Amino acid sequence: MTSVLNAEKLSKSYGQRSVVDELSLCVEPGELVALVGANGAGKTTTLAMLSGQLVPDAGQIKISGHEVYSDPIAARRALGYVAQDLILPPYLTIEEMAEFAVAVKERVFAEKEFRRLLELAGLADDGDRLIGELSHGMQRKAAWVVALVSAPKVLIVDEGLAGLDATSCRAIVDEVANQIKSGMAVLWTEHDLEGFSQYLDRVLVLAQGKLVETISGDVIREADARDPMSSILERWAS
Amino acid sequence: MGLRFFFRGNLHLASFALAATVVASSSLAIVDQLILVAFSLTFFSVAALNALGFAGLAAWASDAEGEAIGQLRRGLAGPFVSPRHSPYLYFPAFAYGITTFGVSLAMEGMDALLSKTALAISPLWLIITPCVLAVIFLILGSRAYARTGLKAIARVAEEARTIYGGKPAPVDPPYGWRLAKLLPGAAATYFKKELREQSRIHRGLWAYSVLVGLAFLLYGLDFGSVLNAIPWIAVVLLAWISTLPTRRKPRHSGEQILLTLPQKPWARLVGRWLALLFVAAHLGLATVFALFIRHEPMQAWILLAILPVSTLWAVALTMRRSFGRLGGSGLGSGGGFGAAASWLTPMVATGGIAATIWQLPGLITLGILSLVAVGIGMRTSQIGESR
Repeated sequence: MTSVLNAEKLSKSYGQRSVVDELSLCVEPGELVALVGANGAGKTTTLAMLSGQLVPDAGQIKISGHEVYSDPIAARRALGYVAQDLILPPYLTIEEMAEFAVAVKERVFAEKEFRRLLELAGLADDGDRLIGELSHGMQRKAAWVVALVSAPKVLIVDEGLAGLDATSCRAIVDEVANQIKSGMAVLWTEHDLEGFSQYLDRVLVLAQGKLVETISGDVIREADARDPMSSILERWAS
Repeated sequence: MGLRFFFRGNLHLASFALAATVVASSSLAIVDQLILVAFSLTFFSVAALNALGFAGLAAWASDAEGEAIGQLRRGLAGPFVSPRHSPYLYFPAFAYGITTFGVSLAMEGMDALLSKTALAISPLWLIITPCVLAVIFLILGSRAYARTGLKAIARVAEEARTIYGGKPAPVDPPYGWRLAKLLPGAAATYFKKELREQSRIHRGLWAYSVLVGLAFLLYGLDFGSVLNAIPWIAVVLLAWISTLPTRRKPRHSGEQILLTLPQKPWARLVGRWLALLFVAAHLGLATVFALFIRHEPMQAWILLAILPVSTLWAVALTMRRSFGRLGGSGLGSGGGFGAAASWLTPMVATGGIAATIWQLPGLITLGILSLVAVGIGMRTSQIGESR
């Protein structure tokens, strides 16, 4: 199967410090891949490069067959992104932002689908509220709604469950799982994989900017249910 | 206890400077025109802020319920998106109002007393007395403010925090957004987005432009020999304050998410600039209308002719930054300083050219006071950003 998200030999340095070093990865349609690592391992920098927010020093990124930096419009049309920070425009309502995100992707805004996602995220009455007036948790849910409403081929998630209540986490993860069944590819970084480990296909372990291990989702699920990742991360940290 | 609220905001320096100017210029009577300038500046900027501050305080302290009062509270939150931030701007204005008002009354009383009794009082006392009175008013006012302000702030905080507690306040589309239909698809998308954001960011400024328009309606251009530019200075001051929300880091201003979306740079530029032009042009229209109503068509036509040129110039200032970012990431952005400048320059340009036409002293005053206003604005925005 052809990868829908493909990165080859990505490198990024901040000054003298190398943050990502010749990293290659790929995610296939209908696959959920987690990118894990200790703090400072280079996860957010990697995702920022993949999502077009940072220009890599070297390497190539293709989303849905389009190179992110030479053909950004076509590449980003296939992309959905849920950020670690709260980065949606504070002076737009959730609906306005969702409508805008769909419009720039040159798709038709599906009002029904938008309402369904709002309800699923527990924001049924908040579609016409300004994003800046929402609490942090609600802003994160709004980011999920905005990312999912355009049914992206590739979804990149940077700690998207942080600060969310358990009910919302479950609803969102289930919705992502449904869209994965429809062919969406997901690359997801999160410190706690427990919330979505049941749907995991692979786990990529990042240490000091390098991809050091690939673990099957089955291995994660069979491992110590309480904390499957800590022993792996400890091993690579040392 | 209440004193801490006086120093909570960023405008107390400006307020005290204005109050001190009024006091010093009145007491020493150095230059008559300085008094007029100080008074007008106080009237047009502090008084307008105070009107909004009082209204905001009253609205938030009121026990009234309902959609109308909710909308009023939201509107009076000014340029801040979250009502809980409004105390930082408007509530200190309450303090300035009390201080200035108290000092003015004291000076009037002293003047009456002096003229009645013909007492010879040394200039030193003329300076000290209003200052002492100002401090007394500050302390007395702070108690009243703390009583009302605490209630209002608590309610603001509660309103902002109680997410599921009340009916969500819907946001109406801004005036003019239907013009998007006249634009090609991609540009229309950006025009709608920008117009929505800009009109909300600068909603306090719209109200202020109406106040300035009213001032022109009342006074026309007969402000005396130096004061033609004063309303514009006040607008400059408020323009800077109103740009605070746009001077945030990209991740907080919603710019960062745009990097992940498929943007057509030309569409973004066209949409953004048209929205800026549309909103900026509106700000001067109140003045133009006021002059027409006052049967001063020549000046009105001059202003009307200058307005598009100055707004175009303002928008052009954002060009370099926009293209700079376009090259790197496919994102065009005139945010940050560019956005602030785009709002400031129409005011300065229009006011400056108008003053040149009417008289040179007005231009000099405009220049000096613009620098002061810009300095205050920069200081305010720095503190605003650090918050």
